Amino acid sequence: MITVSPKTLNDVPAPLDLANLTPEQTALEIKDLNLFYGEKQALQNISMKIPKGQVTAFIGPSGCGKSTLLRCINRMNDLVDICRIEGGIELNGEDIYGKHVDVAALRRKVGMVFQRPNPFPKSIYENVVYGLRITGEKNRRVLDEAVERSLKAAALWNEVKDRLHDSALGLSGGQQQRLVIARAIAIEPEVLLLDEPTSALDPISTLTIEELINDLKKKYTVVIVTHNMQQAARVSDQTAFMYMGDLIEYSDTNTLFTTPAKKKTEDYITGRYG
Amino acid sequence: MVLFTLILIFLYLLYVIKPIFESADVEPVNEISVQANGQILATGLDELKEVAYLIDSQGSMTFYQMSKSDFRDQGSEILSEQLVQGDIEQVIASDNGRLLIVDEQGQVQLITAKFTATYPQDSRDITPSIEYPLGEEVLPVDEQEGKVERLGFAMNEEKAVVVAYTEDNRLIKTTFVAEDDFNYDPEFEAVYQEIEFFGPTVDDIKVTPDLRMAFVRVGNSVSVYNLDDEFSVDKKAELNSIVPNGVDITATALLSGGSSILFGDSDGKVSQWFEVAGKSGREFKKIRSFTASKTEPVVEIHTEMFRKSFFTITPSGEMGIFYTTSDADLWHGNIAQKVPSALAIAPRADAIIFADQARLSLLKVDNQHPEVTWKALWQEVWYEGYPEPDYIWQSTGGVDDFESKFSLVPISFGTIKAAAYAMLFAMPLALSAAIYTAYFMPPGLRKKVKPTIELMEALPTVILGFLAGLWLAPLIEDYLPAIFLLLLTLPIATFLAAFAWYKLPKEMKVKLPEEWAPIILIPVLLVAGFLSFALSPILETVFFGGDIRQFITNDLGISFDQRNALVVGIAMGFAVVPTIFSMAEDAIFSVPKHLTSGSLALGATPWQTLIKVVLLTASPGIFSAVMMGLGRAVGETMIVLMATGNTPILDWSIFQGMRTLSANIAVEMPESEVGSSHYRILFLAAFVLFVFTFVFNTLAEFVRQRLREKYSSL
Amino acid sequence: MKDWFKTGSPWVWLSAGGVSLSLISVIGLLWLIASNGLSYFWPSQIHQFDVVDEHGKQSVVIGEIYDRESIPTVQLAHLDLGREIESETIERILVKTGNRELVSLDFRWILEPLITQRSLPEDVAVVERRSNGNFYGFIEKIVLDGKDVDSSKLDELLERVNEFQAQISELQKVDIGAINYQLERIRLKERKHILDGTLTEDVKADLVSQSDALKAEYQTLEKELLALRKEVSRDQIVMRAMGGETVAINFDQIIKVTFSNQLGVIGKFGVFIEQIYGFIFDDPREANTEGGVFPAIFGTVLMVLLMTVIVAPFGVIAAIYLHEYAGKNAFTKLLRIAVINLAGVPSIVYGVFGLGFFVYMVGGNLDRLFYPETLPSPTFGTPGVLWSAITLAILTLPVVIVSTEEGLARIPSSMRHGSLALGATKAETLWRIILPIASPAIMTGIILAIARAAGEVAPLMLVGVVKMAPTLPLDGNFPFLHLERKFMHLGFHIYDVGFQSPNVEAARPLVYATALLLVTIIVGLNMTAVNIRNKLREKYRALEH
Repeated sequence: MITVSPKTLNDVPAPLDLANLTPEQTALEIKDLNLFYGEKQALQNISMKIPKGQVTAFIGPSGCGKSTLLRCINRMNDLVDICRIEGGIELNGEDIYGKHVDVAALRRKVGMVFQRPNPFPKSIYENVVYGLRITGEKNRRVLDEAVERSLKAAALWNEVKDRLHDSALGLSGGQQQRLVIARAIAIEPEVLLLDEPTSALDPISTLTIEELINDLKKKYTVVIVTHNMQQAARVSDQTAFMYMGDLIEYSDTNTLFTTPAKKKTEDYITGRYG
Repeated sequence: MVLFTLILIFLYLLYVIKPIFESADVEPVNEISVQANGQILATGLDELKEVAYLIDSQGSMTFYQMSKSDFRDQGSEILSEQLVQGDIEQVIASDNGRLLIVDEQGQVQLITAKFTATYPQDSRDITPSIEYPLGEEVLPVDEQEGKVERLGFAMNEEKAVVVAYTEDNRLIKTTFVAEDDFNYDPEFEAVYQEIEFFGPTVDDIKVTPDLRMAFVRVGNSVSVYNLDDEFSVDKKAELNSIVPNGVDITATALLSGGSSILFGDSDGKVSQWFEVAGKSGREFKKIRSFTASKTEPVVEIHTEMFRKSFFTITPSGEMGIFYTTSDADLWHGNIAQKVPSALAIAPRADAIIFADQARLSLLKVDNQHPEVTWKALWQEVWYEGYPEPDYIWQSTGGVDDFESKFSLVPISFGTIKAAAYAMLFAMPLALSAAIYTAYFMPPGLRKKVKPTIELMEALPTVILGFLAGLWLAPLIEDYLPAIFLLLLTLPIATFLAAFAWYKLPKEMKVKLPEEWAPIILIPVLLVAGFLSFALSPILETVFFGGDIRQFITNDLGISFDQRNALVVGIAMGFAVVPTIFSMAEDAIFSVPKHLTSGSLALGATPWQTLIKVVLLTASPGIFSAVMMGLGRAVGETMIVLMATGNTPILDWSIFQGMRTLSANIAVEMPESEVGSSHYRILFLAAFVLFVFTFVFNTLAEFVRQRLREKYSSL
Repeated sequence: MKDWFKTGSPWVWLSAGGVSLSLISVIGLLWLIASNGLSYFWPSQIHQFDVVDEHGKQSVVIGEIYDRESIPTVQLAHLDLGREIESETIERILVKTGNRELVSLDFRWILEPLITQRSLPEDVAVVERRSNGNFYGFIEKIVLDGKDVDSSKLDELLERVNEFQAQISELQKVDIGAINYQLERIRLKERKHILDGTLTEDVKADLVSQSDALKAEYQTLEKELLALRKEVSRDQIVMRAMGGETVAINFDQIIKVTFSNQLGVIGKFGVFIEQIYGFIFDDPREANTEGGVFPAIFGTVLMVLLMTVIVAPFGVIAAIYLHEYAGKNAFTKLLRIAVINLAGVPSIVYGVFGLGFFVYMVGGNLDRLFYPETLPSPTFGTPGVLWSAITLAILTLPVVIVSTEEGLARIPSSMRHGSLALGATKAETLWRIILPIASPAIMTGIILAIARAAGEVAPLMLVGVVKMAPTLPLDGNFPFLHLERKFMHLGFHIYDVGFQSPNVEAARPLVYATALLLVTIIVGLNMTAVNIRNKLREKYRALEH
């Protein structure tokens, strides 16, 4: 039985002043971001700073734009033809929508894990080293090390170390999701985006992943989109509440859940809509 | 219903094919007792196996009713006639039922038994009579009127040739030249020639039915004489090592058509010899041999009139049936206790009759398809007149005793060749188009492009074939350099266009997004194509001396057909493209989106994602698309029929045509006789096609169903 | 450059090239057929070329430009053209000169440099004839019943002749054809009586009197025919050909006289429409290489209709069974593989099967049972339209099944459940709810099957198609529809005329025209089917949400 240790909640250092983060503290800065799907505006004037080495959660009802915002951070929205973006996002002070940005390189810096586990129809090993292989890494030792390191970091190593060359499709849903996280951290990104990483999983797998997220923030900046407020409360340091494409409230998790500043936030976290 | 139809087709094809692989069968039908004076020398039968005759040593020929008819009882004597005064010494059966009667004075007469069918009271009645094709007079075989001991004979409507050995040790050739035509008028003029020959005896003389050669056997050596020359008869060859030491030749016979001679020996073997073109001109060669008996010598060999079958008899009355071309040992069995005193094969080769003391026995021979064996269909066969064993398909010839060449190898090869060239052309095109359409193309454009390409599948192949044969083939012939140039110019033009786009300023790129590449490329490719064609005559002049066809034939030594594999490859490629495209596109398109996002999120470029994830996931679907395409290419008929010369050759050359199984069926089926070996082999060809495509399709469908299950787990 | 390759963009473009090439070939193919097919109907200019050949001999060539090509000059090096040629290539023109009675070949290549003068003479006439092909030349005079008359009478005389021709063909095909058919039936009746042993004197006398009456009728018709023939061949037209020879052409040979060079665009368009009409509704002439393709259209349509009647119920029932009744087990899996296989079996194999099984086995037995009087000449034991229809029905069965099943699969199960929940049985649900909704899908399947059948040639070559059928399978003689008859088919027509006719070059435009017709029909059918299917998909997409 795995339980969330109360430490995670109590251990939070003094809340950061999110509005006035120093550049050193900031991993991502979103500046006046507007996003349109064709004629429809999906995000309106979003501005926020996401601190380094912490877990930031986006919450909000379905269709509020939280996933869209997440996808903007590693430009996955580029894949949607009718999508148009105004404003910008800076990663370590550099505009990721700038002219000379290599999208592929950006995505290597900003890893992403999706709602449904999506291992490739390859072996576990090949899944993990995929990101390294496409950068041309061929050295067997480097690859082996990366596999062990990532799988350990994703808390999957002990379960799969004897069957690294079996098909990844044979793993359970929770294992698959942890594999996908291992795959994402194998290329050592700076930021890890998690798009409702546990919504397709059972409660036990969910807990495992949540523990994992807590470990991950030691090395990476984690941004998580979740539908589940309790999860946000459990795992995140900062929480942003979004509604209908607007960023309604953004503060440290404790504050947001205990003393929300906005009425809409309060309505949402008390379950009046969702 | 569907399954039933499929099984019905399968079973029906098998049902038609089955008889060709069955062995021969012989069973007694009936027997009559006869009254013969002295020894029975010869026997025979009419075409319908109703009336039989026999000739006895006291000179009479008697006809019997062999099976009951409405007019006579079985066994009743119909007609008896005295052929010669005095005794008959020997009767020699020549082809077409002609019999040479040699009496005790050595005088020779030619007779045939004639059977006339009439239909009084709507029922068949067969009346026999005796005819004398060269007149009723004794034949003036020897100018010096010596006694004839041995002779060989053959005739056609213009000439009859006798080669005879007389009691006074002379070997002579006598030609009876018809004044008009032997079919209507027996009048002739005799021409005598003497053959240089020294020998105490002659055992056997055979004259080929084309009247060009005579085989004279003395003991174990056989001399071949050329009868063509009107003035002298030259020895053409001498065959000495026909049998190993210690073995004797015991029987000789000419195979139907007269090109091959068969020797039976005391070791129970029969060997076939014919003339082939060798290093030192034409020479006789031993082609193959058969084992008639392990213990006994072969004493008689009887050959069929139209087919290459022969029957052997051993002293204990054991008969063997063989077929030379297919190397087939068809039947063995005892028909009598000893060698029958006379034996004959029925004119339609569906029965044999033999005489024994006082009995005539009729045996039914069920030997419909001796020419077809596994070996004859799929292995090299040494056909008469060919220098070496070969794979040949030549189902019909000009003459009755034509040796059918039923090797399925060249046409199966043609099928594979046509399909291979088509796939070579279609696969890159269809797969690249499928990849782009499914993976890179914006949905709006895809909605238009996909049905347009799929429309091609609906185009009747007869139209593709017609365009290939009458438009493309001459075009390719005229602009051959252009076709090969296209292989270079099209990719280069594409790369140039892509690079130009890459260097385009950002604002232009937005107006002309990469998604429109196929549309941007259309004019580019058209211009490149046009340039290639415009350059073609110049290239031809500069590199190939003005005429590439002559260059290929003369300088490269490759023969060039106008309707060649290149034309078929392109035309059939087009027919196959939509099949492969449509299925491969579906497979790639249905790769789950979260897989591609996963890869992209890891920083892979779209192209890397495609290669490493999408194609891998879709590979079973792509495989089954290719299999389906292959199935279609293998079975396609009209295009190959119209776009090739339909010559059954074994050659991979891109400049030569081929004949495929399907085209072969389309060409020959309407002309083949129902129930004949040819008909059944064409069914076999259809069956082979059926199995080919069945395997491809089942494999494809199986893989696809597996794929579907896999996706549901993703 | 290296970066560029790293992005993978060149390869993307290369695969885009595959799409472009496929599109170019599809559109190019259709364009090729359309342009060549339509130009067959468009009256072309008649050119006059004055040519001086390499020996300095002068001649005049009149005809239509048929083709042109450029060839490397080197290939003509052996010819002394009488002058130096600078360019790498030489143009040469293929001219259709017609006038088969004067020259052995009605096509001629002319080298461009040898032409000294070219013109479009106004008064050159093209005479389309019943045999010997076109005649190009100038009208010298018209002889009416032995007397010369003004050439303005031409139209009037042509009209008169064409009227008589129509009567003649009516007389030959309908009246005399019917008499021959009845005579044959009387002969067969007599033979049947003989076989049954019921030929009494009375019956015999009756049959004889019947046939005598018919023979008498035949005599009078024949006289009528002779009289008409005489009328038709009364007048002649005298033409002067390009070489200056004059040739008299009898009016009974003439179909049409056109002065192509005098026609304006509207006039040409008139001729164009007239030609298309003639092509669709006329009988072929001169071993199929001229005239129309009506019997082929008729044969194709009739065969396809018969096939539809057979395939539609079977295909639909099989699909309903597969989708509604058969469970998901190994047997259904096997059935699906069978359907795919049936679709993948080469068409020629169906032909072989049809020939062996239907024609020889089934047909042969039918003959023995029902038509013993005609034996040994077979009735159903020989390739014919019925067997063709059945063979193609099997061939197109999977098309109907797959399409119908797809339609059934698209119907949301909520509809079925709704109906079943109201107490309807499964069969009632099927009949009242499912089938009406699936009917467009069934239509699609049938249309696709028709399109496939209309284009299929290989199996038909074995089971019933002929190059020239003397009679249509449908006529005015009882029982009107003759299923045992052989028929003509557009696809086979293309193969036969394009590859088996003695003068392929001359027949090529007609083949293009036939191909255009066939492609139009098939592409039209396919597009209709695809449209119906798309509409259906849209409709149920709305239902699902």
